[in-house]
Amino acid sequence: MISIQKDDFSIDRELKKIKNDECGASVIFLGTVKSPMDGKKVIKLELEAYVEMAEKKLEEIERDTIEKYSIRESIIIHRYGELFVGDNIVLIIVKSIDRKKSFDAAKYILERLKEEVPLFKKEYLDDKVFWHGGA
Amino acid sequence: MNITVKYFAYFKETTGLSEEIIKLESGSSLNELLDIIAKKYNFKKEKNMIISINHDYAKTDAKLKEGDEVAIMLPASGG
Repeated sequence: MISIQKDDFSIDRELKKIKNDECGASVIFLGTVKSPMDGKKVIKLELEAYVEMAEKKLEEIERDTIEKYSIRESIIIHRYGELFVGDNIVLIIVKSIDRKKSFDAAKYILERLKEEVPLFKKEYLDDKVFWHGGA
Repeated sequence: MNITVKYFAYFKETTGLSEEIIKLESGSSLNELLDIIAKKYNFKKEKNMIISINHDYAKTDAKLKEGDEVAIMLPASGG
């Protein structure tokens, strides 16, 4: 399951959606807004999404991960909109029967997500505002 | 032919547009479209510009067809 959404998520609620007693290895990655960034206080982030393409890319990543790591269940959620320090940004949950595969799969999803999924971060620091990777 | 061009992040702010329709000669390439856009909005084409056609990343020599959706973006920075 994948989702690009503005709303916050609950890890417990998401875990219940993919309950599978055959899987003993659940790995959860939670990304949150951090401060400071390069020594500067973060006020907030604005995350913009190209939603249709982001959903397509996440579906591709999820499909590839299931095939590559024999993952039984997975959830990938990424938020967009205005986010403040401590807010949830991204949740990845993978379940399999093998802990190494679950860890590797979560890392694989995160790395591909950062490279391929069209989400754009505008950072508001206390002394400047800038787009990541930005012109 | 009509091409829908979507702008994201820095490019949305610079153009003041989320999207627009641009008319091109049949058989035009993505590169030709980018020339028009770069001139219109004074972009430097090569600078941090990531392009997709119909939700897949594209190279500038790709050919366009009627109704294509082109997006102009920064490199992904989610996660």
